[in-house]
Amino acid sequence: MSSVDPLATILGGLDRPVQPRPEFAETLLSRLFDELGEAQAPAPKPRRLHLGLPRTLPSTPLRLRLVLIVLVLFLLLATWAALTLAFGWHVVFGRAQRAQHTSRIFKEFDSLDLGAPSGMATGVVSNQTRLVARFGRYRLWVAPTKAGGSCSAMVGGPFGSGGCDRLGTIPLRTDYSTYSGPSQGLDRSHSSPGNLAADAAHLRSIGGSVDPRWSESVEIRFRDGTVIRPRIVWVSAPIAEGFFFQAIARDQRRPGHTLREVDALDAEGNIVVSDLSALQLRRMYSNDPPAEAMVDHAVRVAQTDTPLGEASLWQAPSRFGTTCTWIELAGRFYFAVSNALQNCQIEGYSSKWRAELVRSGSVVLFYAAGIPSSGSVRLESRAATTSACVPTATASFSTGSPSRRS
Amino acid sequence: MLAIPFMEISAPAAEAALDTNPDAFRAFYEQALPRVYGYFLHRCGGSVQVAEDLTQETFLAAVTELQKGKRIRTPIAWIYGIARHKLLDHYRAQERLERGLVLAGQADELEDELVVPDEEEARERATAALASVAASQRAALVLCYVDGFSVREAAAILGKRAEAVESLLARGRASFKRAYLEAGA
Repeated sequence: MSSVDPLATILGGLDRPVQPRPEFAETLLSRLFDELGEAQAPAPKPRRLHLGLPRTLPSTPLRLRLVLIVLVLFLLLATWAALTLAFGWHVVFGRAQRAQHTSRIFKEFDSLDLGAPSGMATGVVSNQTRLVARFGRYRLWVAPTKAGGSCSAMVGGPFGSGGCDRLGTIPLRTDYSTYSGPSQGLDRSHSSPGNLAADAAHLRSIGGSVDPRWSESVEIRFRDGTVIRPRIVWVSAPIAEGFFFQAIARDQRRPGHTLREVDALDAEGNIVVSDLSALQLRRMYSNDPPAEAMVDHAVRVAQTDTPLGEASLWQAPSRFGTTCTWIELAGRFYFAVSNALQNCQIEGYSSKWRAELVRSGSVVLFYAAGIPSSGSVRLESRAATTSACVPTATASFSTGSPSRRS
Repeated sequence: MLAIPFMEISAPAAEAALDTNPDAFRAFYEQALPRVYGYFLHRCGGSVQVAEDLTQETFLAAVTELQKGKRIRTPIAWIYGIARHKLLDHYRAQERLERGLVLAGQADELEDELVVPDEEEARERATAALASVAASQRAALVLCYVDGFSVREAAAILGKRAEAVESLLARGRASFKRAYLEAGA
């Protein structure tokens, strides 16, 4: 601690009296007087607003105008503060540094849609590529898309990441970087990284974004109960997303230290959505419907009889615009849609044809979704004994025996 | 060390003694409130909620002491003493939480030097950076660099050995520096 230690100077500068909110000051004083046994606190002294106005105010009309101006300014300030507190914007996108057209990052964003197949283009507005945050040596560049989403790229090191949410409807987006050794090399930035990322020994970073409409924080959970809460940088409209990037420290990278899930949480700490893609893990069944589903709005879209009783296929919206699907059978809830975001299909993104088999004891349920209206589903088993499908507007549903592969 | 211990913040020349007399208490409250509130606000990451909670706890504890019939000769120093205990209790509670909540640091060391920009910006950055430092390290930093205690005194207050406090200071300095530079990036 030398006499010119800049850290001491910086920290030493923290000691300054600050006036708290007047309501707080008065409420506390009133409570203290109550505690002191005073039935009635003495009438508070009139407070003078220190607005930098001259002591002798001008005539009434001008004074009134001044008061009105101050009031309007105060209201604007209060609105801005309330919005800031409510949404937690930390970075005003329009004020962030814009990428130069000659820069490599601009060219990367500008070429994102080159050669993209029809319907697959991101619609990124590369002219608006801006540097919104730094995470250590990494720099986060973000650009809006024409459809209200964003593309992002974390650059500056070997474990960068990036991706696009073209429509801005994904509640939690994750990217994992893993390193599997000199022979395998670096596996950069996969949204579904496979089992490699589950073992923290190979995991180098987790990045991604959350939608502030529903989430306030992110937690990276390991199976041993360890939780990492990454720093989130909130970026204002037109991006309106929170970005995080968490380097996995050396002491976390031990064999057998297994990643469990990445959760987005709301202001009360409730899990809004979980990303289990690191494990390629799908919760096969649960004693409850998907946590994110609005069960009150659930609709039974199909049902069929099984030896274990009636099986029902349910669909319900979630509060962040996804559609959740699950099968209820014998008191259990089987999560029917294999998806990076558990059981819920993200709004606006085309749902590809997919089929699932759900097994429960001696019963196999077949579920298929995303079937074109002009198409049909045919089940073929080796013994050709599969029962008929039950087609609905949104799904086909069938039962069979587990001993016969379809 | 350039840091000015909070005890040395100028107090009124003739500080009135304090007891349960309402007028005396009101005068003391108006004088002490911004100091106590600012003390917490800057040491708790600029969180208004935490600062208000701790300020309230501090004054309620002070009133409890006054109700015992105590007459306080140096009220400002006395309330700061209560505030410091509340702050350290708060840091300890945070430390317990952080045991299960590993805040992994970035793997890469930042080589930049600390730059002190204008005073207001430095204060905002320092408040934010201090909030990001682990609670145990923050307690050591605050006691030694903000409150002006020696390492030995800080160790006594924290109930740790001086070597442990030095270690906390070294790690806290590194974390603070990193966060401070990031906040200004």
